[in-house]
Amino acid sequence: MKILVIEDELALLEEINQFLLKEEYVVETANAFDIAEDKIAIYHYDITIVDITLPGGSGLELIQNLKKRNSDTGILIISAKNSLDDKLTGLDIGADDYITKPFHLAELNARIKALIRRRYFKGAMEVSFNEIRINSEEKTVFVNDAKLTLTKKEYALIAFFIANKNRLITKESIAEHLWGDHIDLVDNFDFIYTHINNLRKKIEAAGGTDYLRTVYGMGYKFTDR
Amino acid sequence: MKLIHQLNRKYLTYAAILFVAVGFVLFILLRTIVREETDEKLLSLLDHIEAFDPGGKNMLELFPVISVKPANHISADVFFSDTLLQIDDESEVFRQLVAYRQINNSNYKIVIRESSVESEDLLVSLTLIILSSFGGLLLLIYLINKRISKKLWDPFFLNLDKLKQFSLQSSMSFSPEKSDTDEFNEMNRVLKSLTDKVLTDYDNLKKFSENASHELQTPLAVIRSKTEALLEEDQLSQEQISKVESIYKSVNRLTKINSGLLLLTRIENRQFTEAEKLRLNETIQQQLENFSELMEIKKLNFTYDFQSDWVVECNRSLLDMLINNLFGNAIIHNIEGGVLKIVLSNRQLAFYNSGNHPLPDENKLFERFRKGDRSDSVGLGLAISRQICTYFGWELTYRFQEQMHIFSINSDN
Repeated sequence: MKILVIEDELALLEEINQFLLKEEYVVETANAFDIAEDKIAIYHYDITIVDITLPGGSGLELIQNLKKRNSDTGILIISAKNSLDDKLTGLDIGADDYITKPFHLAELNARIKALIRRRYFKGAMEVSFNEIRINSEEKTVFVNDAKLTLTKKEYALIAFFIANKNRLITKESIAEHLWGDHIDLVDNFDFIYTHINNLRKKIEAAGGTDYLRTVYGMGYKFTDR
Repeated sequence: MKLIHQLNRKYLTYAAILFVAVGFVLFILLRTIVREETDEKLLSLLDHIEAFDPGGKNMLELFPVISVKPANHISADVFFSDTLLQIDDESEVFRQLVAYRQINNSNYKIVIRESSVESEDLLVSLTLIILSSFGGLLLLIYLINKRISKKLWDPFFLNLDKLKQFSLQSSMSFSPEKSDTDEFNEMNRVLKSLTDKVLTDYDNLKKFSENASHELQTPLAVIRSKTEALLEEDQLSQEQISKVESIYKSVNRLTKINSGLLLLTRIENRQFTEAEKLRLNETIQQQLENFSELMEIKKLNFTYDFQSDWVVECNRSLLDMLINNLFGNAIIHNIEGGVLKIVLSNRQLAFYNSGNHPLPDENKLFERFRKGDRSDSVGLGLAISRQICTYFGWELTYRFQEQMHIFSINSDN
């Protein structure tokens, strides 16, 4: 998968770049409008991540360009403005998803993966991690072919974990992923703890291995290493 | 006291003082004039008597008006005085002239008198007439003045009312009515430029807060992603990790504060203009799905008392946020195994949740950065909820009843 990241803040661009490289994508970056424009004109990307406010032009304009050239590119907007207008305009002209700064890298990762699934596997891709298998279209999870009965949040959790496997996933990013930005709820980690415990029990009851490691009270890591 | 009343009161006080003073002076003046007239009359009568030959008769007595009697001496002077005489059992005041004169080589004491009663009467009537016309004039001036000032001040009060309705929130500029009074126009001009300046300043301030919050998002994103990356490194010591961890927690908190403030500013700036017809029941049902697991975890006894639907025309994301906040709070601040009740009727929605003690400082509950018993909260949730309600024209109130915290939303229209 080839990804173009368009973001004018170099420090952030670099971090996204590093993160995506670890996920084994081919990543190209652009930190200004004209550079991005050139790259779009010459190359083809599977996924493009666009910041809306760029020096030299608007990310929205880039999206329009992109759509004209190769309409199959998946487009994810990142914006500092949590404004509905931008969001609607962006989605209207063909962007697939919208994420507001500051975001968790794990969240960005999950969104990219979901986007890839939707675009290139028509949603029907199964993701598996050893004996655990997730069907993202039906939102079902199997452990050794035995179907788990999960609540909505538990499903969202396991999908989020597997999308970010072998990485540290902080409690904050889990909370934000599960409950959006409810301002007071996000910090309440007792709920996450309970959800995770229930999920663990269900996986173990179905004969699966508990891959969840607690990391220094910071968060979790879903790993078999 | 009103200016008009003050003016009138001062006017009346001075008019009364003036009235008394003028009356007094007038009376004295008139009395002097009348007395001088009387004295002149007496003197002219004396001339007549002196020219008159008594004709050997030594005396002339015409009581009480004239009395001529022989005298031992003569004098060039005349003596005026007031005297009281008894006439028909009544005492009457007379003006009296006494002169000692020689007529045809005989010496006489001549006394001439004139009753003061008539002149006193005249004096009183004159004074009364003058004073009453003067008083009438004062009263007339007072009435005219009152009428004129009312008319003159009318534009002032009209603009005052307009000024009272001026509000920063409505961002309607103050536009005073023109009047014929230069001073008022000048004041209106000053007020207008002042309010316009206040409006622009307020506007700039709002824009500044919004821009500042927006500008903060990118650096926050940088710090957050760098910290997340740092946390994943394997070579960090436990001590370093705990430092990075506290940076991470702080930046998350900062992020939340910033996005909360940004949201408040954007609501204040009225940037959520899209409105659609929404059924509150539907919104609650959606949130219910979202929250049901949390309620199970807390073993809450949940009831939804749906009396009638409330259809509103408002912004969907704000409404979602409002219900989300209040619903979420009712779960987080509930006690294990407590009760959570939602009551929905037309124009009223209430969230009940079990609690042990009423929240302190009800008035400050909805202030920004107000923290409850949990120090990890940023304390913006209720401020945002109230701001949304205010934006929709609703009222959000809190009360504690029968061991239940109750947050209710009411709408009058």
